[in-house]
Amino acid sequence: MLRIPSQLYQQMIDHCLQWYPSEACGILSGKKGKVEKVYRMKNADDGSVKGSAVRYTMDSLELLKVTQSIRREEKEMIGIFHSHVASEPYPSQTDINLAFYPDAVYVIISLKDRRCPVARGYRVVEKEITPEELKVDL
Amino acid sequence: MSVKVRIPTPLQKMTKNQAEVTCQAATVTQMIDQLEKEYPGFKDRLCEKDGKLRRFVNIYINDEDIRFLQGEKTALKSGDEVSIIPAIAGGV
Ligand SMILES: [Zn+2]
Repeated sequence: MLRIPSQLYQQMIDHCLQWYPSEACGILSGKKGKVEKVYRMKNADDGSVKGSAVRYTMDSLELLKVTQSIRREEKEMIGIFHSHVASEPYPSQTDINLAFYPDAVYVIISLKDRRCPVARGYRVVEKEITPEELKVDL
Repeated sequence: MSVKVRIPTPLQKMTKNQAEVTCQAATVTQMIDQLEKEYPGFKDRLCEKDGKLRRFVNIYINDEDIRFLQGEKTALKSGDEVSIIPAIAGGV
């Protein structure tokens, strides 16, 4: 289970809505399955300012900076999120093939209905997907 | 050339749970070969069969991505900090 304080949950959803119609992505840091910080990352895919609607890649230097910041704060990268702008919140084949962090919960936010974003969590270990509960703490 | 190498969580199982190891190497290629000697199987996680760095593995020397330097041929200096960070990417 991944627990997210509602205010941080909202930050994550806002970031996804801001990047719409491109895919958004970000990192959740914290400890013991509890999110303490949301890093809003840019989607560096396809080189355009606004990213891509079908792919995301975190900018490599931004990723380094965030990794360093998480280490300095003695936290862990416990979640990795991205949005699906027109499809269900379920990992695609590309998501599975590129899931290199078995210890993180992959959170996918579907904006199929933008008035009602739906977030789901998964572990992806050696291409096997297991749902992981997301609990939004009020 | 003694450098410090930061190991990402997903690869720490191979380095006996060490988040940081030191290594004697003059280039990134030598560093990878050195790590392979110490932790068999490590190179395979970073490189394709032809020895080229995998597309979804980022290696940085201090704060620079080696793709913007001389790639695997980039020289290392004593005291450099090398970070290995798997990319985070996906798509619909
Ligand atoms: Zn996806």
